[in-house]
Amino acid sequence: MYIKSAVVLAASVALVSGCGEQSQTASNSENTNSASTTPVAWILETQPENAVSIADAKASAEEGQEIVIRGRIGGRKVPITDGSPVFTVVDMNLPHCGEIPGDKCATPWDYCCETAEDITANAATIRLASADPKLGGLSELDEVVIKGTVGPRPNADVLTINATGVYVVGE
Amino acid sequence: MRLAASLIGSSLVVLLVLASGGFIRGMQITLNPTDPLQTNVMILGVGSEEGVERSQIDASVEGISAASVPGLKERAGVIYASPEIHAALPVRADANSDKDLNAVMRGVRPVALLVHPEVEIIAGRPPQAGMDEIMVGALASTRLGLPIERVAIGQTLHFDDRDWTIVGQFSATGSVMNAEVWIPLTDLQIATNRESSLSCVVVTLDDASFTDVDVFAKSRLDLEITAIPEQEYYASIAAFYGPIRIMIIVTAVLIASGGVLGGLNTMYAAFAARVREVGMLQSLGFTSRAIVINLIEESVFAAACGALIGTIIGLLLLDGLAVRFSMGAFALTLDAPVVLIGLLGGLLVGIVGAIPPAIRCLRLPIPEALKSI
Repeated sequence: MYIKSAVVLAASVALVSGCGEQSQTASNSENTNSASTTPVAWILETQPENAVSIADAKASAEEGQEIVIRGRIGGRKVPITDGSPVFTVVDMNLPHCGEIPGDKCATPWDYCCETAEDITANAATIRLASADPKLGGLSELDEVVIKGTVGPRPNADVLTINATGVYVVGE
Repeated sequence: MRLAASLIGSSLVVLLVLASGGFIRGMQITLNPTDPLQTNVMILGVGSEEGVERSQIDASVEGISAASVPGLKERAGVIYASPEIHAALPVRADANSDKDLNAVMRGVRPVALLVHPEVEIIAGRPPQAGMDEIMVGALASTRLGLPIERVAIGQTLHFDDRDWTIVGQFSATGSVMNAEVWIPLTDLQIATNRESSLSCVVVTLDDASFTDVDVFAKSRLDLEITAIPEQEYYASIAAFYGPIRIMIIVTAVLIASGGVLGGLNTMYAAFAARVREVGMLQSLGFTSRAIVINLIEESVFAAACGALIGTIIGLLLLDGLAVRFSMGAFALTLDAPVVLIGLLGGLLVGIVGAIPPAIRCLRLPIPEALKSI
């Protein structure tokens, strides 16, 4: 009888300690998850001032110049690629497909309703320093204000901003 | 007679399962090249991600991409960057023919054979620019709807107001290229009036990653290009054919259900004639379970024989059979998983077709069963 009770007690202790370990594991897992959603350094808490439109920036920006631009993530079917530090933005004055009444486009951020020339004239490339834009929670059609320096401009159609900070409008 | 009906029914179900399975598998292999060594990236026009035939990029993209993306594969000074034009063009068997044959043409330079190592020249030689020469894939005759001897070396096809001589044949098993007609890039540029543009540039990665090509494509907004892994491109095409695959599966299931019902009917008739025998077995002390198992065994044996016959016929007649589709052609592929599914389908007909009539047979009281004729 005593032996049976001891076995039951030992089993109960083992069960309780097992549950404790499980809880610990779950807790660790939660901590890991919460770490991955911590805002990344290049996401700005406050909106940079004096943002210019992409069209204006393309007209006058020079390599090495500090600049703040405002735009919307899009301009192609996949503006943000997993693991790639580069994404594209389009001038806010160019309406995306979702803003056109009656348009049923499944990927409104690709601006397929606009001509290729208009998209090129109103688009810019944003390059983060070896960071994945998705880690900062960026996604298609997000309105963003980007602070950075102008990269090389081999011709007037190319505008690359080496971004130091990204502010997501409306968050 | 009833045994023959069971055999035929089971064979037909297996044949049908093999045909639909081979169709789906063949299309899957053709549109989802899974060779882990293949690290090709397609650079094509923005907005043309769903069809390279619609893509138009500047011819300079080839040189700019090769110079701008470090880490592309290189051998003996040749960078693996293949400028290509993909076009669906109407061709004719000869100048006097009035029937347009829809050919999938690919304008290439010799570097294409490096970038697409699955392409193997099996006869003749590659075509030379300016000589009105072409090279055809192993399934090109299916795509064109011509007899295979009509696309032999030395034969001609007529398009752009002149005859083009077939000087080579290639094989690219498990790829859409297998049904294509390859032509020197400059010749196709002239024939399609697009001397300064390409459909795409296909590059092979070495030290570079896809991200490097993606960064290049997104940084050169002036070129209006986008980068997509070749495997991903064909996977998106495969997704387009998803509804067709579902339709084929549903059709196969419906017809297989018909086969099962036919099997049920046959078994009902077969077992009804043996009610007396079953009654005798019960009176001798055999349990109902043992009798049911015995009847199912008989049915499964007949179905298994039919399944084997169906599989042999399927492997002889269906395996490798070329099927035409909009992207070119592919071969029905009856590999091990498809054959296994076919055999299991046949056995299922035997099991499902035997259980209800066997149970019905046993419901009759033993005295009545023994008196039945």
